[in-house]
Amino acid sequence: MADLETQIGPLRLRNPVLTASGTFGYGDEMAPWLDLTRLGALVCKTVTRAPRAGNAPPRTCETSSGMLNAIGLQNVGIEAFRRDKLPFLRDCGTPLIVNIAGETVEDFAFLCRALSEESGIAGIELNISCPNVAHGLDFATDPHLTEDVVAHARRATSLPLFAKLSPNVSDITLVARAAQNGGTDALCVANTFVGLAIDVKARRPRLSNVTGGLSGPAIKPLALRAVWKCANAVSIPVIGVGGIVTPHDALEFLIAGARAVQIGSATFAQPRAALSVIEGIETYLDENGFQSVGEIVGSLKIE
Amino acid sequence: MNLTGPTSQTAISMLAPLVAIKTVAPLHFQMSLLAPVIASRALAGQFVHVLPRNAGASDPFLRRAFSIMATRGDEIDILFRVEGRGTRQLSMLRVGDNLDVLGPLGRPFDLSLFHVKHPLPAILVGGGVGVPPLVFLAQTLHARRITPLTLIGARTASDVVGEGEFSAVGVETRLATDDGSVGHHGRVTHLLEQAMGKLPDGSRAVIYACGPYPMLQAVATVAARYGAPCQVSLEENMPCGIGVCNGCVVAMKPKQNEGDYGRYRRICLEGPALWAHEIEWGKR
Repeated sequence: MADLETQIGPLRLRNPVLTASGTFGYGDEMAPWLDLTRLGALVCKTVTRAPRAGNAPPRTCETSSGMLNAIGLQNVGIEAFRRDKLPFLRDCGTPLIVNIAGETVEDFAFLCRALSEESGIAGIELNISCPNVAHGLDFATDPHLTEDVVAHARRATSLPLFAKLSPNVSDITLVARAAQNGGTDALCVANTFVGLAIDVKARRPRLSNVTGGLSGPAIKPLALRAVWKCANAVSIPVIGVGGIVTPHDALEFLIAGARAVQIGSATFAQPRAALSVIEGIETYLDENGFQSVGEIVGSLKIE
Repeated sequence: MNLTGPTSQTAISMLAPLVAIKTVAPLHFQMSLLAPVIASRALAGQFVHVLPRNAGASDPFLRRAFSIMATRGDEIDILFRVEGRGTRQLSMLRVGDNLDVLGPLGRPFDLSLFHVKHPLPAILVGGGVGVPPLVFLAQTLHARRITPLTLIGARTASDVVGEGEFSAVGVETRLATDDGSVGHHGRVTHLLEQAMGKLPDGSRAVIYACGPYPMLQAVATVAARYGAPCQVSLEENMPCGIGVCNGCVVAMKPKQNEGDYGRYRRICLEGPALWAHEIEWGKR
């Protein structure tokens, strides 16, 4: 049996398959559907400083091989998260990555400090790329803002940091390097692609927020290219995310240079999606004579 | 009011063989699935989440939610109208095909008001393909020796579904159609107003409704006027069905001591049936 362990900065994970933020709730809703202890890590839904109601419905719509969402970061806020959600998450038997978002660099620093006071947190993912909130929390469309927010977070915590980048930029490697300079331990590449769907009968947008983030198989080649570009541009680990449904999809990201992957909206269609990806990666490694998953990371052959 | 009840904790994921499929009205299909665990656990108002594609395909990407219309031994029935890609795919399935199903999901209709010696009259109001969960509810009430009055609204006579199922359990059905081709020429809510007006004390009736949003809003208005408790079964684009995506929300009236955060509730987990007076109507 091949060794599935992967190293993400200071974090050693039992396998390279994580959940993507916003697609796995706070873990408790998913516990009836799969064995959480088999995940590489659990990335929970974004937490902000204050509770957020989120956007008005309709918040989602299906598109070709994918979906748009504009949830608007609905969440309980850091105080209720620590009180109500963290006790389950820290004891769920899998490393916990808490995804956070803020409107200012000080929000990020505040949240990092607050989480550093807690036990049982393996790392923090900085959501600097949410496309669906009114005042634009997408720091990751600007290299200077990215470096600044990552640096503030870095000073506020010694926990491992992942910076979740936006794909909605002309050159993602500029932002990737900026995040590395700011001191992040790893990059999460990437978030959803901003898109639009229209109800032609009503001639209205299908989402109340007008635009939303596109996810699902439709974005996989786009995300894969972004991961490949970033993996070649930085020295820190890259976590690939975007449209991964099958083990085959995940293997593409690993071969392109990702040290781990996240399973996002695939979980909506199949609650067990992350586990079937883990099983399929293991089978592929065994069948192809690899001793460890590390052997295929970045193994893309380009003549 | 009672908010306890089965949640996704009792739900399972399974491949359910299709045991029957028939056209019950133009573009309306009724399916029976062999799903013993779901059938044994399902309660009126709950739904199943069905993947409308083969495991290897990626499109249509998301599951489709269908209210459970009936359980019969090891089988469950669902009924749908072909509206888009997913329902079209499902309508082409054949007996013996397997469907990837999650269920039973959501909270059932709240029947706590019937825990009394002298049961209240119940009125069921269904619009179009909103009728199926009310069939299951009528059967459930029948088993408790409660005979509801059922009001069905549809665009036209051929779109009326469920009439046979209601009469099978001795439930009186009154119809309303938009084109007047059968029953009352007009809205089903007119029938509701008539029925409420004839009750000696309308506030003592319990109303259950499922159908298009404007119909539910109109039903809620009538219920509020009579002070009658009313549950509505809501629909919204529903990616996960198990409470993790926060997509299928409905705006609720603000409660005291509850911040802005509680404004939206997940239809899949906290619904689909909710008390009409708690909903912030028009915020959709």
